Amino acid sequence: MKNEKPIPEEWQHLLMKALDEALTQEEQSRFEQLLESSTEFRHEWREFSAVHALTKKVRYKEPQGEIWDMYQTNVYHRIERGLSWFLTLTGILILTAYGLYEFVTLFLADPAIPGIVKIGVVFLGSGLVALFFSVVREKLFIRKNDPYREVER
Amino acid sequence: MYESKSSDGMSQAMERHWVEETLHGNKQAFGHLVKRYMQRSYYVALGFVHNHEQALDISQEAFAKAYYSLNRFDLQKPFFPWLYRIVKNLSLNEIRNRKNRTAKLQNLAFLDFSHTVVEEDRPLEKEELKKEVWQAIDSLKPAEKEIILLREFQEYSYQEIAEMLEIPVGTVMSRLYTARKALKEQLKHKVADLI
Repeated sequence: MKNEKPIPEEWQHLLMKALDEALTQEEQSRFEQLLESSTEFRHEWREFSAVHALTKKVRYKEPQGEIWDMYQTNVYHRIERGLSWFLTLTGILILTAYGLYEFVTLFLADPAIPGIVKIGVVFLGSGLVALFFSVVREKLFIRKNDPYREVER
Repeated sequence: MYESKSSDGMSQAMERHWVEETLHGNKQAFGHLVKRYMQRSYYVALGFVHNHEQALDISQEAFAKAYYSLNRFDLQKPFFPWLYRIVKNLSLNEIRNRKNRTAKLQNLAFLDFSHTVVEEDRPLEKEELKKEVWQAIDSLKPAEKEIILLREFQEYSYQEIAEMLEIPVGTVMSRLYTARKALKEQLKHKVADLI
């Protein structure tokens, strides 16, 4: 009798379905046929079954039930927070743009204000803005890279 | 563990209705989607980050992101595979940030096994087995690890995995074969005891 050499992919797929108990009747017959035809396949089937049995022993622990009671509310809070941030940042952007426009047109363009005062105000404003961004960036960096973040304090 | 994952035509039509309602401003409709998928979303994140608090955080954040991107969701497709990709991206971001934070620390320090249980009687062996299986899974390539988690732990069907990963069902089986083979190599001393 001619020993039919199976297509490896066919064997892989049948083996997976056999482990997951998803074989149709027709596939089951083919799988058994392949098993009988090769000691290598039989060995692989035993090994894969053993691994499957091992992983089946490790399961996820169910979280406490009350977590799900608050879950939906927490999602709504996040959605609201997202919207709040969007509105706040848009507001800040609009007001900053308006403030800058007013600053340039009213303050800097005013011939009555001495040049030295204008320079001083520009330096002070730029310094404060740079300082603000520097502190924010540092805080964010520390928060992101803190190796003890997972540690409960 | 959680309700049936079958994405039959009726439930998909229902999902579509909820998405459309949400897009029309009905927040309650989005609540139905949250309720339906919160556990699945949590377990997906847990599979990636191995930490209960972070998994909870990521899965909730994923829903918030989904809410704001809902207008980009293709109504002809099931909802969960789309949500899955959001959860996965957030989880991978968290892992990347964690790696930055822990560059100088032992990787194992963050392998938290407390979210798993073992169906065994002897406590010492139980802990050892749990640790070994998770270490073996964590040592796999990301794509192999992902498919093992989806199939072995979250028990999705091949069709569902194909939708989530956007690959053909045949590729799911081939990838699963490769992943299980790699896992077998990692656990070979245990496997030898069992056969």
